Amino acid sequence: MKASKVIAVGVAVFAESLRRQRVNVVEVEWTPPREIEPDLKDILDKIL
Amino acid sequence: MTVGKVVNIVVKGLYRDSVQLMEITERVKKLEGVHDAAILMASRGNKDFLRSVGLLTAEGELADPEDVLVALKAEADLDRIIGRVREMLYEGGGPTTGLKTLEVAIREGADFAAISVPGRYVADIASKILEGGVNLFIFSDHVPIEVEVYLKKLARMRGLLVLGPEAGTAIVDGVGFGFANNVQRGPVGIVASAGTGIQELTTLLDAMGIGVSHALGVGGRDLTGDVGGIMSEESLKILEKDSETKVIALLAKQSDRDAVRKVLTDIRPKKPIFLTLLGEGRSTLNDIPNIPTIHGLALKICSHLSPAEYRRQSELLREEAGRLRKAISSGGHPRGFYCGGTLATETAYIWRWTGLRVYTNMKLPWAHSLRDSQTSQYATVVDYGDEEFTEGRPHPIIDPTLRNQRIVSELNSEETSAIAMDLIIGYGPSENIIERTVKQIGEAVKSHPEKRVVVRVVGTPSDSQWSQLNLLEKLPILRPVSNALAAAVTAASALGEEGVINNVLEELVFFEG
Repeated sequence: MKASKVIAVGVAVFAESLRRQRVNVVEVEWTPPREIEPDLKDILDKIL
Repeated sequence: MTVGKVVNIVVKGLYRDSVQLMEITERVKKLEGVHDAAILMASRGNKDFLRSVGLLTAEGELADPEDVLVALKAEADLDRIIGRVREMLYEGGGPTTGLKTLEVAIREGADFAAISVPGRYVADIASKILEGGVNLFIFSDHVPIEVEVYLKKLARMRGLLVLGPEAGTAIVDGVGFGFANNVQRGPVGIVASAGTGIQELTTLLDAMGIGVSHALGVGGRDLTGDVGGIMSEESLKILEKDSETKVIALLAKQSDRDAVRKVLTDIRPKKPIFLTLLGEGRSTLNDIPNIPTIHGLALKICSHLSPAEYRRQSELLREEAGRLRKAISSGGHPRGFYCGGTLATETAYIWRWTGLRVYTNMKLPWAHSLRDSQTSQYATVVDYGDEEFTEGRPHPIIDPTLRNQRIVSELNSEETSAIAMDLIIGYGPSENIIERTVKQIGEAVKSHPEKRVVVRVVGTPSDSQWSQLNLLEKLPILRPVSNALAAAVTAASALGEEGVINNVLEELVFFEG
């Protein structure tokens, strides 16, 4: 079992730690998807 | 009294992770004219926090969870300060160039993927990664249990590993994921549903000159009845086949006996296996004795691999216990404030074993529940890595401010006799984590020399922050070699009985089962 190449999604400090250990890190661009308001979601849940 | 005007600036649709925002907040607090600052994603929890400290304005109330919310209490040239904050958000604080989409990264192939996004987004990302044939390490918490079970079953079907969710630590082929320490390579393979438990065990083994082949952190819930040990079983199969692994340790923060029994029955391990299910005390499972503490587990492995080193370690430990017996305080309640949940669990167990009445924010069937995590009762143990403290915030191993503020406040309480705490170094925590902790608690510790502050430093001389340990030596603290010993000293102080230290050592650490 190897960990020579790792995809990193999320907190940058963990990707940096892997790089310091000479791991080939592929950092993924990630931002949270836009969310609808909870109140609107409740209404949609009731309708749909 | 501080003066200044509270202003909120909402940066629409900008995402920065909690650690980046913590670092920017620290820099902004140092700007001239800034009295206080908090830069956070505008989640409901974070807005509640800003409101509670008087840093939320009507403009901030309108921010959405996917916006960055800059909250400042400042005077002087506000435009200049705001301009600097914007620069920080976009310069070093943001993602670097050259990032790939998840789809491209999966297509190009990898051995592992490490996920540390907020828990509610894990299912989608993790499913895509597993479909792409890549093993997973999931640091995130707040992942629903049904998602965890689904992902683990999917991984098992595809012959892949899912380490986590809530996997604080793993070491795969010498590479540390999440919060890991720089430890030697060697013959011990570890499967653990206990993140800081892996750190405690691997650093103790390292101090005994024993190295690790792989340490597979399967997530805190894996050996509960809900998950049934799916990934513990798959990980044990891997270690059974791994030529570098000569002995195996199975360690759990929380566990269900039936789930553990099933895993051990299915695997029928041929390699020597050593077991620590915290809270189970002295018992036997499938003819395997349970070793009650992590220090006991490390010593047992040591005695198997190197009897001469075991004898040396035992002598050293008895000498240290002798020194600690002379340093106990007396009266009042002990308080344990931890960044690591496994260490908190171990302390709660040891305290209860010594006869103390233990209250905690952790779900432990053998301890009482605190009415409110912020208010201590009797022998209190609080895990600051619990989900109630981590939503939208860096893990306390990275930012221990809340935990350290609690320590200062409890040192000032007449009820407190002794405080047990962890200080975790290695991959993940910042380079100045020791300096920062000393700054936050140092004055309070010095002001109360009658109270015992007992710090378990989890790390090895190969960790980059190790050289700063001299900063701790300037404080009147005790720094025992293990968390079990830290729990023993604090219990002895509260009970005013130095013999408690020996009892813990002989019954829970030097366990000959």
